[in-house]
Formats: sequence, C-alpha cells, structure tokens
Amino acid sequence: MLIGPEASIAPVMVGSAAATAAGLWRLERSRRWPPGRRRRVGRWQALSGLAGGLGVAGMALGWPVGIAVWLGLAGVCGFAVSLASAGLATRGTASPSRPVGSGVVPRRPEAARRVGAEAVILAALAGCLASAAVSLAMARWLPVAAVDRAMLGVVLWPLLWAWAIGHLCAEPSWRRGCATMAGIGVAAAAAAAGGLAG
Amino acid sequence: MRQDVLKSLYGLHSWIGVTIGLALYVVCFSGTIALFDRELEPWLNGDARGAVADPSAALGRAVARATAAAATGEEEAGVDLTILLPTPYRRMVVVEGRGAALHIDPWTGEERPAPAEGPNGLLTRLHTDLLLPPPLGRYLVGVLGVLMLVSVLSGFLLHQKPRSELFTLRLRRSQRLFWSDLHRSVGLWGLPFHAVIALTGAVLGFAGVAVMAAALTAFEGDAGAAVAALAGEPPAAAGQPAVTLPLPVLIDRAAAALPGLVPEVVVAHRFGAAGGVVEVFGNRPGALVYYPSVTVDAGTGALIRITDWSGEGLGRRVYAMVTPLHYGSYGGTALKVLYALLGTGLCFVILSGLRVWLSRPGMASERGPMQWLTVTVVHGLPLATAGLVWAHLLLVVSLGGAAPPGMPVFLGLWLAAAGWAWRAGAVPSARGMLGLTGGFLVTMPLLALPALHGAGGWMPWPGDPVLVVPMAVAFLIGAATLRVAVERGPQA
Repeated sequence: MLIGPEASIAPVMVGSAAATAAGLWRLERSRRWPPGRRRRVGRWQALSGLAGGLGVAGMALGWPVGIAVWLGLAGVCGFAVSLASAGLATRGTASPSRPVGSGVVPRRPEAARRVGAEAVILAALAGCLASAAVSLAMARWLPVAAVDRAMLGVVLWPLLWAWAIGHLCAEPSWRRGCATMAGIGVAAAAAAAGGLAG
Repeated sequence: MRQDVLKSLYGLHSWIGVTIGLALYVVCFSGTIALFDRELEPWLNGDARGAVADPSAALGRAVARATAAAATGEEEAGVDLTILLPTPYRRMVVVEGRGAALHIDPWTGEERPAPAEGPNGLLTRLHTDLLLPPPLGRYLVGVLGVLMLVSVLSGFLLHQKPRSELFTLRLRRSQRLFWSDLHRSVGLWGLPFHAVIALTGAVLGFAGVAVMAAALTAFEGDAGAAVAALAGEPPAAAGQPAVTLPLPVLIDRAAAALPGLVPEVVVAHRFGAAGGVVEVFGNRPGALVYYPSVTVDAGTGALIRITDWSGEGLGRRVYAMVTPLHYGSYGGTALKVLYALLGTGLCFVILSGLRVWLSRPGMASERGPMQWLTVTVVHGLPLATAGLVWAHLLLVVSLGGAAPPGMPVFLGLWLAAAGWAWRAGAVPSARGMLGLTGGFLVTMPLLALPALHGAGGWMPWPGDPVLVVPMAVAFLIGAATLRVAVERGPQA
C-alpha cells in the first residue's frame, strides 16, 4: 500500500495565469485608446487571452475545477495588472487620475432609511426565519430526488438569508419589507409543514 | 438603482464592516494560515524523516494493538475503529477505538504519546470556532459568513462603474483615496472568491443543524431514511468472530474500486467479526468532491458500495463541492498558495474598508477606542501568531522539548498587544508590533534550522522542501514586514 502522491496543478496554473494576465493587460491598455479599430482589436486580443486562460484551466483540470481555479487566478492577475498599471501611471511628476465612478455615496440621500444596529439585527432575525422556512419548503418540494432537495436547501439557505437581510435593509418601507418577509416565511413554513404532515 | 436603495445598501455595507469587520478579519487571517494546517505539521515538529513509503507493516501492528486493546471480550465480537493513515504531512498512524487513541510511529511501529495541539491546530480552531466551545463558535462563524455574504453582495451593488473601478488605483493621492481605491479594486477582483468563501463558510458553519433539518423535511420525518441517504445503510449486527483480510489489502481493494482515490481515513465497523465492513475515505485530487468513500467487506474484500457525490444528483454534487471550495483542497499546494493570496486580499479588503471609515473627518483621534481595537486586532493578531510559532519552534525544534501551552501563550501575547496599543497609542504601537512580528518571522528559519540536521548529518542542499519552503516564506514575509515598519509605518 503506497501513500498517494500529492497532485500538483502548478504547471496548468502558470499557463492559465500567463494567458489571463496578458489578456487583462491588453484590456487595461485598450481602455486608454480612443474608440476605433485599434481599440476594437485590442479588446479582441484581450478576450482571446482571457478565453485562452480559461480554456487552458478548463481543459486541463476539467471544467468545474478549471472555472474555480481560473476565477481565482483572474482575481490575482487582475489586481497585479491594476497595480502595475497604477505604478506606471504614477511614475514621473504628474499623476494623471483616470475618471472613476462618482463614488458610492449618493448626493441626495432623500427618503433613505437609516441602517443602524436595530435594523440589521431585526433584518437578520426575520431573514433567518423566513429563509429557513423557504429552504425547508424547497427541501420538501423541489422536483429532484429527496437527498438532493435536502442538500440544495442547505446550500441555498445562507444565500436566501443574505438576500433577505439586504432586501429588508434596502426596502424604503420597513413595514412593507417585514410584511413581505412574513408572508414568504409563513407560506414557506406552511408548505414545509404540509410536507411533513404527509 | 434608486438613490435611496443605494443609500440604504451603503449604510448596511458600512454597518457590517464597522461592527463585525474585525471579527471577519480574525476569521480570514486565521483561515489563510489554517489553509496550510497539514503542510506546516512536519515543519513545526522538526520532523525531517520524510514521507513514509509503505506504512503497511506499521499499520498492521497498529491495528492489532488497537484491536487487542479495544476488544474487552465482554461485548459482541468485532471492534469499531477509526484509523488515520499517514500522509506526506501527517507522519503518524492514529487508531481510535472505544474512546482511546493510539499514535503509532510508522517507521518503528512504536507507540508515541499523543502530540500536543500546535499553533496550526489552534489557528484552525480560531478560524472554525473562534476558540469558543462547539457548537457555539461554529454557529457564530456561520452567522459571520452570512453577514460577510451580505457585505460582499451589497458592496458589489454599490459599484456604479465597476469596469472602470477594476483598474483604478491612485497610489499617490490622499491616504483616504488610496485605501478607498484599494478596497474597491481588491474587492472587485476578488469578488467571486469572497462570495464563494462567505457562502461555503456559512454552509459549513450551520451544516451540523441544517443538514439534519433539511434531510428530515425532505424525507417527511423519516429519520432512518434520512440517515441512510446521507451516511449509507448502517452495518449489520455483529456475527461470530471471523478472520478478516489484512487492512492494507482491504485499503488497496478499496482504492482500486475508485480510481484516483488517495486513502486517508479508514473506518472499520465490527472489525474481526462476521459481517464486518471497512469504509475507506480519501481525497480525489483534482475533483471537487469532499472525501468520497469505498466500503468493502472485511472478510472477503468484496465491494459493497462507492459513495462519491460528484457523480450524483445536482444537490449532492453542489454540497460535495462546499468543503473543497472553502479549503482549496482540490489542487495541491499550488492551489493553496493561490487561496492564500486571495485570502490575504480579503484581509486587505476588510482592513482598507476600516481605514476608509477611520479616516473620515472627526475620526482622527489616535487614542479612540475604535483605533485601539483596530490596532489590537489588525496588528496584534499577526504578532500573537508569529510569537506563538516562534516560541513553539524554539522549544520543540531548537531545544527538543515539549510544545508550549498554545492557548495561554497566544492569548497572552494578544493581550499584551492590546495593552501596548492602549498605552502607546495607535501609530507607535502599530509600528512596533509590525517590527516585532517581522523580527519573529525573520528569525524563525534559525530556530527551525536544527530540523535539517538528522542522524546522518546535515541534509544535502536544498534539503526537504516541506521544511525549507516554510523557512523561506517566513523569512521573506518577515523581511517585507520589517521594511514596512522601518521605512513607512502604518498611518493613523
């Protein structure tokens, strides 16, 4: 009985990262060019690099693993390209700042509900109950095998919970948000309980 | 998106970041190191013997000893055993049965005392349970995962021009602009990773309660059917004592039944009795599936079943991906390095978000409670971690003694860092902590050096990578940390 060797995917990762980084670098450069043929060609080259990186990872590692690995590589390469590009831009005296989004704070916060501790805690509790009820209802009624329904319910619960918190906090009318959540929760709980009752 | 909704989302994103950002930092920092929990084991123990090539003989002896110890003769025939096989990093055979555990050296077959929890184990518990008793800590980390998911999704929705923000980093403008750009850029590039880590972390946090609740609902309250669907049919009641095949043979048969399986854990039910079965769990490198298993008959070696959820229905496939996706255990060390980079990025997202908030007008007080808490966590946690590893290497590898008590040393160092930040103020203490952390890291290779000197003298260059690579990484990170502390230092 031998201890299995640890598989290394390093060569595939290096190849995929190189193609992805080249694509992202081209994308970053082409953003600076005026609209026209050169820019279009640059974008196609960038897309080719990105597709090449994804293809290398997907074909060598299988698509589920390849996509997961490529997304991580793209994140690291993308930040590295941003950093390199910013380093180039700030080399010299004047540091040109490129246009950026107007920021995340809107200028006129009219009619926005203030999100404080009470709101988030209440949203978390209400969201927890409603999402748990929806997950259990899914575990009972989704049209797949029973054990698959159960597992989908488990995996989707945190996602539903997070959505519920976001929805409740972003909803301008707290009452309307709570009423929606309560309605969803009660209906889902009834569906799940109905399933349990047979 | 409407302005009022954006404003509310911004409030939610800020509130989560300010209130639980530091707790998330603790989980992310410890998780980044806990990625290498197994890989650091030989280095922390100065174990230079290399991976055992064939543990069959030691395994046979270990099982015979454990079987004799566990079988008291007054109960039914056969014993239930859980056996942890040696891996390239876990250089020990561990046999657990009836509440006792035997640690067997696979080279000599001798029994060893159970090793004390090392810094890697402590950091893993900090990541999974925040050092709180189970299951409270696990659920708390699950809640943090959900809130992190809310923060990630709300943060994404707040980006008005994500494509231009992807490449925007203004390094030489104001501090606030620098941290703000860093927060957006790292956050956007790491978005898929952050979302996946938050979701899978939340699922793992609540798995204990959620899986059974969902399974009971799916099977309409039939607990037996739910357990059978999740864990397989329970083994039949034990029969008379019977001859079983040697465990290494059974493991080989199981591995042959599922190509690619690298056996790591063996669970034997009623071993030594008629009807006994052996379940062999292992990793399948390159597959997004958590610990598939093969069950064989202990007497004949006949295949009973293969449990590999990567080839089952959608729900099982997705659930089987959760653990490998969270721990990056599907691609060897190279993938873990990628995860560590992305995890470090996540720490920087949290840190930069806090810096943006702390650099608001009116928040400049260097001795405010938030500044103190931020320095205590952001700089104190790495200091306590580096100090604990340093003390462990000094006592275990350099001096060949027992491991220091991990929890008191770790918490003591962290408390000392808190006191330092309180007395000295945020900026000087942060700078000092960075310098001390760098000092610990830079000198670690010297402490670990004796591991490269075995019975046959010094290892030939470049030595065992399992021992040398952590030394090099510690030195490089330490040197970079020292440089930051000496040249620039953190700003208020």
